[in-house]
Amino acid sequence: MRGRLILISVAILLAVVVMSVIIINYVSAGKSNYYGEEVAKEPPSFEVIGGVVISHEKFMKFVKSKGISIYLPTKLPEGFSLTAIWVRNTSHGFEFPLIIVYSKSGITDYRAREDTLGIEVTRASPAPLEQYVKDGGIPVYNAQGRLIGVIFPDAYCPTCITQKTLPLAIVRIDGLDYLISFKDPEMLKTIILSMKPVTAG
Amino acid sequence: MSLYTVFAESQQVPVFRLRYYVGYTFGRGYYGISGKIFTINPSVQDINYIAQWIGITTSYSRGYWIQVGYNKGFDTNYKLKFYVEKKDKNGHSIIWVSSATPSAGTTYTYIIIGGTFDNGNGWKVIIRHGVNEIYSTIVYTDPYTSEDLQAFSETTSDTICIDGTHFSSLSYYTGRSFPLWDQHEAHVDEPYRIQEVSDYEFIAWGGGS
Repeated sequence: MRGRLILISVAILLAVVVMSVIIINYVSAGKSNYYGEEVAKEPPSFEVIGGVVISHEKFMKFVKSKGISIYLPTKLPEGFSLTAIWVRNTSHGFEFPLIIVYSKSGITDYRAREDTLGIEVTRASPAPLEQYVKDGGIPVYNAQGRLIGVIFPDAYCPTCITQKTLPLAIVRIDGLDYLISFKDPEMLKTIILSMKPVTAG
Repeated sequence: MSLYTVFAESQQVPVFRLRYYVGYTFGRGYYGISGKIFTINPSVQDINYIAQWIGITTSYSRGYWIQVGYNKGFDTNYKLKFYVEKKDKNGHSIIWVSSATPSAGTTYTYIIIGGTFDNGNGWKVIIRHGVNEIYSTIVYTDPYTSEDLQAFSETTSDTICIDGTHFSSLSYYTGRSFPLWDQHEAHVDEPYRIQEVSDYEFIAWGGGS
């Protein structure tokens, strides 16, 4: 009983410390205390412009309504599972991009970060994949030897927590581009090659 | 109002930055955007700025985008300046236009056109005054995608008064022409206000001490 009380007290103390750090930083920002960091404009974040988490059922309805096939990995990093499906909610219904998040600790953040696998699905770009290879991307070929994507192992990651870069894969399947973020480029390749169309049920 | 976490160059501590937005998103990705922005010249103090811009989000999950507009703040020595800015897999870069300066009370047309410029992943960025092109450049991005078009007034403090803000003729590029936006989602952070004139035009005001 006493042990439990101590545990609860420590937890409360930790929560207070964390909240204090957040509040101090918030107040610092209000005083324009930016410490001279790299300054960049920022578009509004995804949730600000309507990004919402939807259920698997709504996701399947979205896929059906668009008449498209969505490909998702059948092989995941050890311990990872699906934690969130984000889509943009607009006045005329759900719209791309889709952002699908996998994590092994329940993280649902749509932003690319070191501890998640994130797959952003958007309409395919007119830029040829070969262009990305010319720009230094490592080509990924399917079993038939066709170029299906590229991996940039050191892609800039402004949304990451501790790192400045995070591997990024750009994969093109059936008229859609998949921007896949994961910390391990080798695993990223395995993930890409395991992608299969999602089916209802 | 949004809080962004940024990491200081000099200190490994996260700093939260306030941002206030007023403007439109189009809601669909196209490979080009244009719009007219009336230039206002508010008082900006301390380590703050105002930027009024049009842009294209290339990835929401990665925080990648390209935009063009004008800026006034500590980063421009409190003078009005045109800029072109992007974030992509190669990092963050900004071009401060030195060959032309925005004039308060003047409306400029800002254009970003995708296409097959050189390598197939280039965006032609143009600033016009009337029919006169006063600046143009080509910016490359990887990935070369388009998830949304946006037109915003952005400030880092609500002490900045944005009275007079006027965005008009917001258009998307089809590959051949620039139709006016036929849909939009408005976004406004207190204490600022917006009047949605049409899908392709808005005025905004508010803020200031």
